[in-house]
Parts: sequence; structure tokens; C-alpha cells
Amino acid sequence: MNSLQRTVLTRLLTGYTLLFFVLRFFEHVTPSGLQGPPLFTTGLDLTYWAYRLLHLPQLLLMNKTGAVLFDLLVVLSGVLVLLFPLRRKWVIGFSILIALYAISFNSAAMIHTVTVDGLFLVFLPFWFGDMERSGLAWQAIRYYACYLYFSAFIWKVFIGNAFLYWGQGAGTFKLNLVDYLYYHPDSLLSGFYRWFLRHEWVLNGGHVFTILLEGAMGIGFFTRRFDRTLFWIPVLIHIITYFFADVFIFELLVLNFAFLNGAQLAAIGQKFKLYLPNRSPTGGHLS
Amino acid sequence: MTNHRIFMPIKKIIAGSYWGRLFYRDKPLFFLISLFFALCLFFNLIRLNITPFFLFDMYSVKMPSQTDYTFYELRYGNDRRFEIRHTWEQPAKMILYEPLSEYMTMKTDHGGKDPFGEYLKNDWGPRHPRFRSLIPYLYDSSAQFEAFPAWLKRYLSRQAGGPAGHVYVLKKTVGFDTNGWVREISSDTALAIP
Repeated sequence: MNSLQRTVLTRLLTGYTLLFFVLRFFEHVTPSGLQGPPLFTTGLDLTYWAYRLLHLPQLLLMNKTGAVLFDLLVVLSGVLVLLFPLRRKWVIGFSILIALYAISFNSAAMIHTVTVDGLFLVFLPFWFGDMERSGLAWQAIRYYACYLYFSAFIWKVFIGNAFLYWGQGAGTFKLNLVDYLYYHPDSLLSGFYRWFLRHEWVLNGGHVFTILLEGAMGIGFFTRRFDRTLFWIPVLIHIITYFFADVFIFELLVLNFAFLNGAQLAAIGQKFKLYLPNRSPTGGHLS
Repeated sequence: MTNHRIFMPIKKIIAGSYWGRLFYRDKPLFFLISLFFALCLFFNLIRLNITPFFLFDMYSVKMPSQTDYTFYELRYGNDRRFEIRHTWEQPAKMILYEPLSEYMTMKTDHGGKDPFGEYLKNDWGPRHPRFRSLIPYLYDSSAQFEAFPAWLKRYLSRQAGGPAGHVYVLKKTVGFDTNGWVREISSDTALAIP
């Protein structure tokens, strides 16, 4: 990885993460908008145990000043990363704060949401100052993205057996969209949805297709030749699940940037002027 | 000689792969990344979700169609229904409805006690006596549960953009007819917050 690639990548990841954080701010789901929630989940997740034992919910969520300061710090550190993408201290600061936000949100929502999972890992390669080490670590994120979807495939096919249950597509659809169909029976979308409910085989077939898409991500373990396709598969999966399972997991797509090669990063950097001037030209691969 | 011929190309392939390059160029990082993936696999095998070694097992169990479905409806002020309509607003929906659902379950099914706390005290604690002193900090107390209705009203006011006034929660039970229309089966007041 050279400094140009690192600059473009850091700005892309931070910009993408900040965009969703700001969206969440306006939805009142960042600490300053949560109004001091009283209930938290921990489960048997030791990271959440540490979060709770360190009294971080009291500091970040229940204390009004702490909550406002936390939101400000996330935005401020994010902006500093955008301005100085090669300064590791801002990247480290921002990534710790965003991981803390992810834990705080999940704790207060009392559910471990998958959508924020990518935020825990995606910035770690940029903690390293050495460019080669950073590039090698960044490539591991690509393998992690493949692993994530492929393990979801393994769970559905071999462990939970949802893949072999033909009615799963319709079952998931009804469970997640019943309230929308109840409250908006006359909307255009509800009309489409009812057509699908009268032809459940389409929902069930679509469900099987989505699982196969997850399985296809396993190709990425063996070759980089299909990275262009592998970039779009998670996008397609999350669009399908957005409309047919009523779930919004687009923040997880932050991992998708790992499928971009050096030339694509350079092109993005030039198009959106994300690179720093007077830097060396980029090569093909990131290590 | 034969072994040499067989293993040389394999060694070359490995050395040229990402893992090979990682091993030869940066051994500490190789061990760090390998350990991470090994732990991911381990926690999947024992089916324990520990951040950041996540289990991506959502929707992996069978979910058959049901004869009826239950969800909560929030009403506030002069009987106005509160709604988060769009899927992209899902985080707000989760913050409102997931704790509400937990609170209602705790209230109706667990006699006002956090079931996770009961599990820690009665099951996990006796098996891990060294960590017993940590247990009171790991679950929600009765005082926290009692604070929930006031928070719900506060947060609803924030979401609604003004004082929520009288808030009540309806438990709706509905079902699908053969044409895909949703019909109400019952609607009961589950919680009232003056």
C-alpha cells in the first residue's frame, strides 16, 4: 500500500462511516439523542461485559454531557481523519470511538445488530504506520468480508438448515413486513408485496438465491479475479433483504472497499479528489 | 527426487499466495491475523458471539409462516399512532421496540426480573464462583426496569418532536388472509404511561 492508496481508502471508509453516523444522529439514535436509556443487553459477550463493568453506559449514554461530548468527538475525529488521513492518531481515535458507538447502540437497542460489525475491524489496518504491514492487514479485511458472507451461507445450509426449508422466504417476509402491510394496505409497495404473498414460490426461490449469493463469496478465498463481481454481490444481497426482509444492513458494506484494487482506488481518488497532491503513483495491488 | 518435484510447485503456489507473502514478509502479523480467524472459527464452533468474533447466524433457523403475528403499537398525545415507516430508519425502530419488547416480556413472563440476571445468579454463577462478584453489574436491576416507562415517554417525545403526553402501548395480534391482506385479530392495551 502506498500513501496515495492509504489516503483514498482512509477517506472512503471514514466518509462512508460518518455518513451513516450523521444519518443516525438525525434519527436520534446516537448517544445525544437517546435520552439516557435505562436498559442494556450484555449476554455472554465479554466485550459487552467489559463495557458495562467499566461503567461506560453511565458515562456515554446516561450522562447528558457525556453523550453530547461523545457525539461531538466522533464527528470531530472523523473530520480530522478526512483532513489528515495519514495521521494515525486521528484514525486510531476515530476507530475506537466508532467501535464504542457500535457497542453502545447494540447495548441500548438490546440486540446485537450485524450492520455495525464491520466497523470494529475495518480501520485496524490503518493503525500500522508501516505501509507494507498496513497493506497486508488491509488484504485480510478482504478475506474477512468473504468469510462473513460465506459463514452466513454455512450457518444457513449446514447448521440452522434454513436453506433446506422451502417456506423460509415467505416465513421471513411475513414476520418482518406484517406491520408495514397492516398499516399501509393501500400503498403501491403493499400491492406488490401481496402479489408476492399470492406467489410464495417467488419469495422462497429468492431466499434460496440469496443464500447461494452468500455462498458465492467463498470464491474470494481462492482468487482475486472475480473481485469486481464480489464487490457487487453483498450490495445485491442487502438490496434484496432491504425490500424482502425489511432489514437495513448497508453500513456493513464498509467492508466492500476491500475488493477495490489499486487502480480502482486511484481512479476514485482522482474523480473525487480524495488523494493528497505530490504523492507517488499507485500500483496494481495493495501490498 | 519425486517428492521434491511434487512439493516445489506447491511451495511456490503457497509463497505466491496472500498467506504465503504474509508469512514470509511479516511473521508477527501473520500470526495475529491467523489467530483472529482461528478464534472466529472457534467461537462459531462453540456458538458463542463474542465481539469481534461474530457469528453470522441470522435467519439460519427455520422460520415457518405463522397463523398470527404479534407486535406493539405506540400511541401518544391525542391518540396519535407513532410510526417509523421506512426501512432505512431501522436503528430508531430498534431503539424503541426491542427494549419495549424485552420490558414487556420481563414484566409478563418473568415476574419483573431480568431473566439474564436470574441465569447469571442461578446457573452461570455457581459454575464460575470466582466471578460471582461481577454478576450484579452485568444485568438490569429492578430500578432500571422501573425507569423504563419514563424513558420510553421521553424518547418518544424526542422522536415525535414535542411532548408525548399520555402514552400507551397496544399489543396487536394480526393474521394474513389467502390474498395477502393483513386482518386484525385482537388489540389490547399492554401498558399505559400517564
